[in-house]
Amino acid sequence: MLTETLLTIIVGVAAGCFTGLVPGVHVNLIAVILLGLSAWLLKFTSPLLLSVFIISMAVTHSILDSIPSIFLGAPDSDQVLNVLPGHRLLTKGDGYGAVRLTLIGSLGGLIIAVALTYPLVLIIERIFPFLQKYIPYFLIFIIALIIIREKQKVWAIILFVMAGVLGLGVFGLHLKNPLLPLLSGLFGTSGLLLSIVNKINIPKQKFRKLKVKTIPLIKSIGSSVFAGGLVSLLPGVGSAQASIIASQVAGKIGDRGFLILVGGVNTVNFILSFVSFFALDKARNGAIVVISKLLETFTLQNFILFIGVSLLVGGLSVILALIFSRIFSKYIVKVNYSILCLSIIIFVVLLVFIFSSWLGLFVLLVSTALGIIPPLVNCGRNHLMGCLILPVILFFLL
Amino acid sequence: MSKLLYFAVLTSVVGILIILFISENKEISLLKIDEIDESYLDHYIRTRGTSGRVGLANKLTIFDLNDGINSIKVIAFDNSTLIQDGLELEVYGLIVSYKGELEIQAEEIKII
Repeated sequence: MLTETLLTIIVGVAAGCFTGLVPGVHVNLIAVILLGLSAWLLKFTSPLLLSVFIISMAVTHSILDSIPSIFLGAPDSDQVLNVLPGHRLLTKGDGYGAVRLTLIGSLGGLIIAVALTYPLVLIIERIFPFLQKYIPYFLIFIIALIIIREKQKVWAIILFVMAGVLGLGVFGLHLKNPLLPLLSGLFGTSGLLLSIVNKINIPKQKFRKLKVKTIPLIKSIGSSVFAGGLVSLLPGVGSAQASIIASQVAGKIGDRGFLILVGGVNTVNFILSFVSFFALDKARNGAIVVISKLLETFTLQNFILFIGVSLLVGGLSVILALIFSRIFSKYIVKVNYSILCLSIIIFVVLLVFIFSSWLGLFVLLVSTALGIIPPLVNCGRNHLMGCLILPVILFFLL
Repeated sequence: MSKLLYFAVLTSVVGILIILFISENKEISLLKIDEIDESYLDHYIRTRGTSGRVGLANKLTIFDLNDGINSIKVIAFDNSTLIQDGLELEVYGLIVSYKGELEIQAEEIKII
């Protein structure tokens, strides 16, 4: 059983490397495919081992997916905000350092989330009903705070409202994968297009550690646990929105601290989603929903096994991520960056067309146009998160 | 204002208006019950079937919607006595997960 479990973990990590490094391929997609094939797969393996595979894949994905978002400017929905500071560091020759910061967040967040598992089970059962009532007011307060701190306040409000209306419209289209064209355009292809227009060249990359002082480090990792908790508990609140909330709570942590925070959120969210499922019987992400269907009951033994697997996979994945980011750093300067950006744009366009058809392409065009505006008016691109935050606020209020 | 900024603002505004227009007028295509899977979690869908095992609770109506082969639970936040066993219904609602099972939180229920 131990040998089979370890083999399953290795295969899961390999799958997670694929989903994490290839832009646009999400672990939930693979999990749903697996569920469809489960009747056949269960002839060769058990539901528990299949669940271990999904967890290994999901944890690896959550750690490795910062690499394409930083080096290729092609984030998935959970990494949209790290493109901005990550890309800034890449253009200064610190792409490897940027990835390393996200790994600190992932591993630190993972360890703290696991260490706090038992108290979190107790806390979540008690605070969840209270939190649900006040989340829209909390979000409104955070948005107001972010806009007040922005230098270009008028543009910040305009961009937030435009993105919010765009988000509402896109969700009203009932596309199968609305987030793909929406977020790819706002945070991915827009940035890539501007890199081509501005003829950005990626300088030679330095393989150095970017230092963070102890207090911002503690604040960033703590905030990632807080943000990951919000995502795991609340419907409609994704990693990117939670990261914005957490960054306001954390205070001044700078680009480096923000990368640690964003790196941690997704990993913490996945761990805490076990906790939510165990404590509240609520499955908050696709991979956990699939696991809940594979296992008839979710016992304490399963819970402890999955936490153990997550820790093992977390450690392995960080090592792999450091290796991959060295490879990316070495080869990114050898390619023509404009051609690379154009190739990624074409790849994203194809993905959007496959998953969301012609309407998805139109959404991609509009969201790209909107995503171009913030850098041109010297305003933060984070206000474009209104595309998700405004619908969440209205969902809770109406 | 640079040309690129002007073009970006114009495209965004016109594009958003078009998307809003389409979203107001778009019909959600009908799905069969066996087509509803985890990829539709937190999405709105429309499906048809026959009602069964109708239960009324405090401010809730819960029933099974089945098409002869597959079934899915439907939750309506309304204590309506119009829904009874054996009715042909079209349900529009949000796919959610509860205790590992997919359910429809109904927003509109039409008797066909």
